[in-house]
Amino acid sequence: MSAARAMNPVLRRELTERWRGRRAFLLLTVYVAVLALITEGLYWLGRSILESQFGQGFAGFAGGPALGRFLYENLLGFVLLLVLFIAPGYAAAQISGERERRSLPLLQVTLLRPIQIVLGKLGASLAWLMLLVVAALPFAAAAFFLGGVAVGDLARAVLYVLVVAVAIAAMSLGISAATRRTAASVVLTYALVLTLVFGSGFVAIIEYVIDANAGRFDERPKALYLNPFYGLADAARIGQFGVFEGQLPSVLTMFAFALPEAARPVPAVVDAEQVDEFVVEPDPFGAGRRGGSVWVATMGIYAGLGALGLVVAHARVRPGRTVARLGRPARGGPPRPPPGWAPGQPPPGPAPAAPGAPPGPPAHAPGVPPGMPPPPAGSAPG
Amino acid sequence: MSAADVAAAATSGDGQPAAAPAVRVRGLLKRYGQLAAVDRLDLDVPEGSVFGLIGPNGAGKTTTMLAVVTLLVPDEGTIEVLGHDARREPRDVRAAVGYMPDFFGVYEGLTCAEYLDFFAAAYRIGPAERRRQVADLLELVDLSHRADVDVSGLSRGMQQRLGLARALVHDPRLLVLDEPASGLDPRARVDLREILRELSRQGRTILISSHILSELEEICDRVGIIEAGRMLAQGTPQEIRARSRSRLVVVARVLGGGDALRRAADVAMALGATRVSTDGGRLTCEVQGDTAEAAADLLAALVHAGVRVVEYHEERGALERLFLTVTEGIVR
Repeated sequence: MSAARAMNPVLRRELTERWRGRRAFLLLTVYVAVLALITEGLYWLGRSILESQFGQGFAGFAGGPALGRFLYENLLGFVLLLVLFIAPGYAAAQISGERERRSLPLLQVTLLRPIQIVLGKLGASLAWLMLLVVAALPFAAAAFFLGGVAVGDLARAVLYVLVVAVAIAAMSLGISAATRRTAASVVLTYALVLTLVFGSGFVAIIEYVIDANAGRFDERPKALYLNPFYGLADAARIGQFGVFEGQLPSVLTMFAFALPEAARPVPAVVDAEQVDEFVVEPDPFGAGRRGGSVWVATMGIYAGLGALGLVVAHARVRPGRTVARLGRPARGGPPRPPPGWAPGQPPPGPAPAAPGAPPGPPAHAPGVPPGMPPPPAGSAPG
Repeated sequence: MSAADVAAAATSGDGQPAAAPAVRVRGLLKRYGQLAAVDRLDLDVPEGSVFGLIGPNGAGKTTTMLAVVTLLVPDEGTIEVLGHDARREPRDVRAAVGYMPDFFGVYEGLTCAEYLDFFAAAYRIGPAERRRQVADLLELVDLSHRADVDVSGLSRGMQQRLGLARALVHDPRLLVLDEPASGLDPRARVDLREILRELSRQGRTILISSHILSELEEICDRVGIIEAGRMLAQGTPQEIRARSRSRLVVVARVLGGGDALRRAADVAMALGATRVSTDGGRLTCEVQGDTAEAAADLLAALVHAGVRVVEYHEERGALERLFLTVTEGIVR
């Protein structure tokens, strides 16, 4: 690939448009400041809970791992939430927006391949989001100072979040390409996200009730595999036993209860006396754990859905049999005269004689006095 | 065909479609539901010509153009653009064709220069060449002074010129312009016409559409009359004029009031003129037969009969009337 094509033009244009001037800079600054406040707030919240449970001073060395996990899990949950709500917002407008601006045909007629347009749009939807995720990493990494979190835990969780982000953006792009109006695209996209988050939870509850009625208490609801937080809980290697065993409940804790038995990690801190065991994951990717790859399965499902979105987007961006109607408003309307110039009026500006104008008759004959002989033009009639 | 017509055809430089066709469309058919937007249309655009596609809104001009620029896959028919089949080799066609639709796709937050640079990049032009090309094109369309102005802040005429520059970023041999003059004020139209003349001088083939004939009459070597998805006639404006019963409208302003006008009308009718009217102190009629000769004969006869002619001219926009004539038969 030559240097000229080093970067997808669609992506480059998007970055130019969005990251120009101070707006992006200010937004990022505010975002990082808010994250700092949240981290600080979580730290003091977790600390005061621990101290109220275990007494003054527990939150020092002994409570560190619990605090670390508390920060890490909550921040990851926050980042995933951000992904789920920002990725569709950017992606949903990408292709329908081009359509509304009527700039899509202009792209299609260039030498950009449809897949380049789609991937450029995908990159454009994700660029900003990726930056936000990356900017949040140092805060999650603050947990390393407190303990309870292995580097692999963070790496795995971040990989998971990024894959989900790409998949959500790709699905949104598919919806954006399939709808004509950005408003419809946005509504559908968020409906999809809400379905994945809450719909899967709702179905899981029904599944659980049915299984419980049948006496199958060990069954795990399959619908949860669609829930992005469920996979994150696994990817983050969440502890699940709650405050009374030296853990603080996080936004991910409730999903941990639903994880299959084998996927449940050992609690980070079993009790205050066993502080030596606070790092329990020697293997960051969980190899050797029986059936413990909920996060991998969820990632796979999302990757599949994302690929489907890209396929739809690609099919809809390719010039085809209907692009004319998408590229312009309704056809066959009543004839519209252009403003200020009705047909039949002489053309504006210098108007030389029509190409076929006969050179014979003068364009402007002077007055001819009566009685004079006719000018010798053409064959004089009798 | 009179000597005058032959001369006019010769000066327009394109008597017959001798050159290899830049665009060759055969049997183009495109349906939207029940409606055939384009109904087995044939089109030949000789290389190097300026070809005007003329027809009312909904006649199928845009659909035809979309098919030519590969944005639309027709239901039937073949399209060859500069030797490439539009369906089998769309990328070759796109590389050789610049397309300007009848709307302007705005990217807010981009300057004119960035806008052109983006499209140049989309045509795989390298950064250094892009910079040069963008500067040249801004110069051509007289927007150099707006290079750093946001695209969304341009006037309609400037947007149109920028759109034309966009269609030219990859130096295409064929330009397809869909209603480029619609919505422009008179001044902007003149500017546009000048730019198109320049592009034609550079040897580019231009396919241009309009629902207003007078827009195209001056710049086109050839025109095609299209209505209800069918090509009614193609040729030089002169050829089409000759084909449509050589109808020529002349207007004579005469002194002397009603009597003189009546006398003038008698003279005109004696010479076989039709649709004679004497409204507003003017004699208006369609002269019979060969245009130049008959018009000259009529003037001579008027003067000979003692009618004091102050002004005598062929009515402008004759092509427009011609177009109406050509289309009437099909509509009803």
